[in-house]
Amino acid sequence: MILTVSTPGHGVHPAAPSLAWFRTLTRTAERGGFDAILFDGAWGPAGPFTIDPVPLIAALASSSKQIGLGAAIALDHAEPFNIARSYAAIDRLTAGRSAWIAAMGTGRAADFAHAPPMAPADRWARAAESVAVVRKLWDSWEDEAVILDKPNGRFSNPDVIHPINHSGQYFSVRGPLNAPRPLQGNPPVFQRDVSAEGLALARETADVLIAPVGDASALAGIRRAIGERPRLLVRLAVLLAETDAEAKSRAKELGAPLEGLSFVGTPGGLVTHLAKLSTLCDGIDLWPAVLATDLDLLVDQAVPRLRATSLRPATYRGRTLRENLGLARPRSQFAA
Amino acid sequence: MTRQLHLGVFIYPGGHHIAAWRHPKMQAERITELDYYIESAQHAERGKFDLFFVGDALNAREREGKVVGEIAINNLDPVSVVSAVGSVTTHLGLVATLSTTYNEPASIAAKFATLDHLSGGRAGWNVVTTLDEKAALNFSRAKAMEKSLRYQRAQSFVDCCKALWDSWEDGATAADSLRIKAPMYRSQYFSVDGPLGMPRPPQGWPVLVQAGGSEPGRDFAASIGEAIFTAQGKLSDAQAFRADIHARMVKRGRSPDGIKIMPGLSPILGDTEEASKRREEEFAELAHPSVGVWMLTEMTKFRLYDHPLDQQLPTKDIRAFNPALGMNALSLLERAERAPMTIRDAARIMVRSRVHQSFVGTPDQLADHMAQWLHEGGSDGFNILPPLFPGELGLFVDQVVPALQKRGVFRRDYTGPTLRDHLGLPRPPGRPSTRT
Repeated sequence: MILTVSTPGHGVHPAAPSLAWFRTLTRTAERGGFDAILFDGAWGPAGPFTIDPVPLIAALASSSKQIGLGAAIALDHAEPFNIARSYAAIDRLTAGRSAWIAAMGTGRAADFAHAPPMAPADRWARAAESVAVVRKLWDSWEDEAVILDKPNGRFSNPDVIHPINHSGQYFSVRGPLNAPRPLQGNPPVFQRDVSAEGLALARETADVLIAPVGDASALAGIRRAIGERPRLLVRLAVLLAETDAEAKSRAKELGAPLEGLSFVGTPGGLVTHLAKLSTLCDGIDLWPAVLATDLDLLVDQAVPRLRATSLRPATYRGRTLRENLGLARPRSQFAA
Repeated sequence: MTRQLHLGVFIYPGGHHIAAWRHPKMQAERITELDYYIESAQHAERGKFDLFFVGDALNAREREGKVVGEIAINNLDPVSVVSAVGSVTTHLGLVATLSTTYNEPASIAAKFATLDHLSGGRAGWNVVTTLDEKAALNFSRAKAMEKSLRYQRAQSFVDCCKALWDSWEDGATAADSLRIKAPMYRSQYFSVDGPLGMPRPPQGWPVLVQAGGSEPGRDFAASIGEAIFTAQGKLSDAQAFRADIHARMVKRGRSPDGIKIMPGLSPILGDTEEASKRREEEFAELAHPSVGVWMLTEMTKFRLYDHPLDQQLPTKDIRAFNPALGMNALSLLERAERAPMTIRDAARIMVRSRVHQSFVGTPDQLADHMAQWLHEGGSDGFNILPPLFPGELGLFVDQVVPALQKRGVFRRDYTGPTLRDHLGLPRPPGRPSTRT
């Protein structure tokens, strides 16, 4: 069972984005053996408070050793070349632990109002094309491109570095990228949209789909829609306490109900619940209801119980995030 | 206190010598790894440098449609690199290059605000407009934007970012909705409502750096620049450049104190002058002749790849082919016309040449040279381009920094935590507080 953790959650957050705070979260999640910690940029309690999570995961590279680090870059207003270049760097700097959450939209359309308006169908088609272009750019340097042949003065082998000559409906990108292939080949691409269009996009372009559903019975239909290839995770909001009654009273104190599928109860109860859910999908993306509290409870109380079952390994098994997710490393699409 | 030098280090995969990756001391497989950058950043911080700088390119370097295999890669994505080294340093400024031609202001304002928050006020942005025509082809454009338009867009881009950075009053938090105001920025290029998604960056704005000596580039520097990276080979030229920038600032109502001019400087050090010259020779010998031929062809646009290396440089053909040769090309051709020069000779000259000033000598000679430029108004500091990382940077820190400190022209320790503190730049005031 794949296990990831998403931020932000309710509760107390620092008044301004703080590396120390994010570092603590990441180290806690790594201690719990989560496959990845995912940042979509939201750092505050609610509302439009967002940072750029890409420099954040770069900053976290040195503070962690094994956990995957995911950051969202919205597809709507980003250039594929810039996305490919950012991840080509971050995947190297994290030694193969990066993930790209290819989100639809930033929720801040008014910051891009100078861009020509786009019909909904075009938005989705453009999104699919931009992921395809990013993958082509990542693949433009084959794995054997960097040869470091000092005696003959050959740093790279130009014969296995390819212009991509992409000419599509929305983008024309010549390439190649000016960076070697990411360590993972392609960092895993995560998506989170379960609309009909989102599922079609995931089927075509995603390595991992995180499904925010209201009812676990929806998972079977989602699996059919996306096919066998992408890993399917279900999003689960989690609020824990020593007893069920205590958990319920904590939930009440929150003031707002937990969104989507949620679990309110004891760490032992959670393990049983996760075991059941994991028969319906490949894993769970946990949303600690109150980050500071519930992430610690998850790691200290629930994870040891999970590790006692066969659901989670005792330690990280893979070196890269792809390996931990059980995803094969893709060959370059330009390789002969 | 006498005026103080400001020092930056310009990181590069391998080093600034074009053949650095072949140097016996270079572990070339490290140049895409985190530790390579961390080690260099830690040297710089130990040496009390003002900043760590990463340049950018948005296309691969090519010869006849193929990547040039004899040279190392460009820098990795600059923001990612500086952000990664920011988390293992505490004072070093972090300057990343980003193009205003191929990005969106709302995204870039958020990127640098994030970096400034995470690093505790150490972010700087080298604002570039991306010169290379080939970059346009990677961004769905048939050709690059015309230069004056690129700079107009850049000015508007930066104005928009400033409006976003100022959208939160200083000290306002997410709970103070009345102290957060959407700037509703409008120009012919951008329509951005805002506000920024986070509190005002610790430095107000990241330090704005400019690099590029053209007319519109100088005006842009005088308008928005707080530091300038520039290529200056001669003290008299550097003095004229600095005076020109200052005059342009005064015309705009800015004080010349508000900018730090830092020419690039590539040091090759030795215990004696002879030793340093030997080391220069050692570096030059590392370059494959085909690299020099590629550089010659790039410079003249005249294709030399099929010419035998030991043939004379065909100066007449080159002049006939390209009547609009630049200054460096013309001076090389004149030299070849005065005395016989083969293509191999010309290629050797090319790999020794630098856009930036190089200095070959002892640490004391270099310290004197730098102090002279400072005292005689040639610069406010230098952006150091070591030929090889991290070793040659370590050498500079161990040998030149103490010599500068002894001369009283460089700090012995940091006096504040932010990049603005190091550079002696004021923090932009932001919007007046409406707190009651």
